[in-house]
Amino acid sequence: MDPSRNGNGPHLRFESASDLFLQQLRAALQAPATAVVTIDMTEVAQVDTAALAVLAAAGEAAAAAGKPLYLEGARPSVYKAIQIAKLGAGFRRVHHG
Amino acid sequence: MLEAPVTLAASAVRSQERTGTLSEERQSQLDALVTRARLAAAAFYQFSQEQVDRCVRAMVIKGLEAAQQLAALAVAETKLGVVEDKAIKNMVATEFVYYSIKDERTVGIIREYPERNLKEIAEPIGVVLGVTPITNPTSTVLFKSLLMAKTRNAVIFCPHPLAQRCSNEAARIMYAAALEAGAPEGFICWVDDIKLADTQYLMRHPDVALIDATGGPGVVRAAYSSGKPALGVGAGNVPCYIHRSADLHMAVVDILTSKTFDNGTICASEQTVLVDRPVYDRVIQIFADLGAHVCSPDEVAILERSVVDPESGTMRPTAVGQHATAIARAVGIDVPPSTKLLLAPLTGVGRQHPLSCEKLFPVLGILPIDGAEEAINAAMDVLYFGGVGHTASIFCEEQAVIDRYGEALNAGRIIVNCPSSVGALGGVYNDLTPTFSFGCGTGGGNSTIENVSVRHYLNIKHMAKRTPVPQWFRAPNQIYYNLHALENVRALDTRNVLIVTSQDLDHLGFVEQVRTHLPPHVICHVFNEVEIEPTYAVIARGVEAIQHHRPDHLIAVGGGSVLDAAKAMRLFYAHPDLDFHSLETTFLDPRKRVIQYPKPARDQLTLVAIPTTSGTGSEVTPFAVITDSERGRKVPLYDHSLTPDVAIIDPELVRGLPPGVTADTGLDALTHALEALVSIFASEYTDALAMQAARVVFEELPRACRDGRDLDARAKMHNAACMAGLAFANAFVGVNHALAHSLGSMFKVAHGRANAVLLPYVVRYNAAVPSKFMPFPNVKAYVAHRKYAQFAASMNWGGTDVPSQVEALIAKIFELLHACTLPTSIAALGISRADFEAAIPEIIRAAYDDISIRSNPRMPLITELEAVLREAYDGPRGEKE
Repeated sequence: MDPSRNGNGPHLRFESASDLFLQQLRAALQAPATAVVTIDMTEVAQVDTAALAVLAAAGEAAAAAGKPLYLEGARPSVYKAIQIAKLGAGFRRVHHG
Repeated sequence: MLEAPVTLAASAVRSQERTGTLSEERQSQLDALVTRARLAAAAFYQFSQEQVDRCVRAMVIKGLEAAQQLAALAVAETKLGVVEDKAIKNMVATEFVYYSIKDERTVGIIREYPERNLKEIAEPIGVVLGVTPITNPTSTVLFKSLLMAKTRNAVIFCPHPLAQRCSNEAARIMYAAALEAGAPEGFICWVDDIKLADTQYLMRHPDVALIDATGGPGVVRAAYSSGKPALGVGAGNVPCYIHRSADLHMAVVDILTSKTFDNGTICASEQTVLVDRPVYDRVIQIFADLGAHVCSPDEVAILERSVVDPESGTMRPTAVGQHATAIARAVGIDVPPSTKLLLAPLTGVGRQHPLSCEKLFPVLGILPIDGAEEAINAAMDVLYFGGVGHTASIFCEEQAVIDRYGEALNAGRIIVNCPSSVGALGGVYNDLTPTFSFGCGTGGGNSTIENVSVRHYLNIKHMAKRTPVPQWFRAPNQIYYNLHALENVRALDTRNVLIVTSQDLDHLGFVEQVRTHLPPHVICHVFNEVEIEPTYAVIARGVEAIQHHRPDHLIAVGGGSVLDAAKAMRLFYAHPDLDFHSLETTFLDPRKRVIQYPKPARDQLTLVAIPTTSGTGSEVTPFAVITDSERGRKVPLYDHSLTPDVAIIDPELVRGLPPGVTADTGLDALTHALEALVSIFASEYTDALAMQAARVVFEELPRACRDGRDLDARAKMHNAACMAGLAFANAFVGVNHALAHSLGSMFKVAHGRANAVLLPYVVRYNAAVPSKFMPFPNVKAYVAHRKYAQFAASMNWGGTDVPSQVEALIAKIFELLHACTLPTSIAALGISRADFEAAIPEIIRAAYDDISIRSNPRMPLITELEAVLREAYDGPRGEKE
């Protein structure tokens, strides 16, 4: 977790589908100080079905906590897969403009 | 043993109500299945072609290995068909399909058309609902699984409820093979313990992107009525014509092969054979010799009652896929055990003849027919009796008959000299795309009429790069200019010329001037009937003169009217059947125009154009204007074949022009130059000519107007007009000409003068940022204002930036008009404001009909043209005439 990035919430690196990731994410979402959570996808070349399922669960958890979930650094093929999987509604994309 | 990614619990199925509604539990299970498939489709999207092909290959190998096993499962479960034949179907569905798709690109850029600057890019569809039939329950699943993998889609199979065990086993085998090769989890799913309500629910599921329904009309209808994109294929009723020229033995063997294949369960198999009467008995005999039982009339009647439902007129399901002997036994017809087929002689086809319907079992109608025409009509009757758009077959050695048959019948597959069932599957007897889904086109309520394959499971995107159109620069073969250019007439390779001119010019001695330059041996005739604004009647008389005198050269001496007339005379002399009115058909792009001019003959008359005014440029242009006196309108002709072959630009011939005509024609030339300069068709070639022509007009026209005998000024103006002509012959003109044509026509204003009073206002209009740009691929930026400014700067007229340089150009145009004693407003032409205001709508309407408007740099709007006209009427700002 790197709360310094984006300044206002924890920063989770996503590498592959894992229960640990989901646990970390849920913990981060439950922390009262957390305003947003950012998932760093920079290292992800491809997302498989399991990874997409984890991301779907992450989106649902964030929605349940009422906190926005940001995606950062997703390459277009990964981002397109997230769109095809219809997970887009659960996420906001970090825009470095 | 691999488990299905998501299977449905039997308890949920039991709770499913018989009424067709689903329990909440069942719905959530189906939802989970779709979600799984959706995530798999998303994961699959990221696969490379190599990853995809690896999966497909692994699936094919496993499918081939399981071909026999799946065939046996299918027959055991459905009690339809023949194990050996179903095994072949499974092999075709894997090996043959693989052979046809293995090298096909389905990921990323799949096809390129460099000459068209086009690329096709594959986009997967997403989640596909695969509805599969009872008749081909495993082969269809194998086929669709392969295509889904090849196209990176996820599929949920909804098998026929009476074939679900074998269909789902086929899906499981393909999925396991793909998964082992790296395919995403869940990309093949299937519904266990399926009921009709499950399929209906999934058909309407928001996350299902496409329904791919193979089955009977009910399934296809349900798919299409779901409101989703659907590939639906349905019933056939295949007519088969045996023409007297056919190889009869081959025909009968093929039909037996086809109709008995898997006991006739392929919907592309023959249903009614239409046999030319002279060979009918022979065909019947061959059928009998090869194991068909030829039914007696009583037996036909029994079959009609027993294998066809009299209410619906369709086959009874109990007979589908059964062996001929089993059917015979069931209905009480005594046949030998070796019987392959029950052949039912019919007395006609259609609803009144029940056995001419689709029969997915080895009962075949047969009917004698009197020749090809009758056969085609009868085949149509068969197709329209439940098989429109599907398949038809013919055995024939006469290509003309085959072609007529194919053209007449509404069938997606016309199978020639092959068994229609295996033939339609493709890849075995012919080069059709191998498939297990036959599109039946709109006639069958389908979105495609093709053999369904890879392309139907992709969204194929087209990436189109800007493609500038090729341009040209065309000019007469020879242009002779400057003083004494007329001497070149002497060098013409001619024995017989016809001089085309007007009476006035003839009387003024122009004809004599030309004649004296011709060698003495040349026979010279004169046609001097051309008037201002020549009519088609004059052209017709001119053509008669050519026919009478048979010249080898036309020498046109005169202004624009004479030169235009000569161009038209040459055209209509060479092509007397040409429809004058058709040539006025308007066009947007000269390369794509509907009406094409005939190509000039090699021995066509040589046209020599000698202008006696300095303005129209007609001596070098591909345009002519002829008046249609009957309809009271001018007909513009345009084609490069109209361009004269030789232009002679001799200032001696314009020395006597009165100042008014000199001014009018000079301003016409300037308008040609400035409009060609900013035209969307402008090029470096035309820019050079346009700029130089405009420069010369500004510098020399006042001098030529003041002193017509100044031959230096005359020569420069004569050349400038020709250069401007060359520029606009290739770049065209613009809105100034469009408005001037209609204004001049309506108020009888000389063409050059009409151009002149509009020019400064049109320049200001074109120099402004357009409210609408003119679409043209060669135009990369709006440059009209910059080109005006560039020209003004080249003339050293002051101004420090583009707007001030444009204003300098406009001021210089006004100066030129004053210097040539030309009006600077429409009001100054003596037109009352009331008349003018009343005429504005018609002026604009006619201008929009004018081809000139389409090369203007900005797309003129009606309100804008109204404003330009009113500004031109009022005259220069702060100045009234």
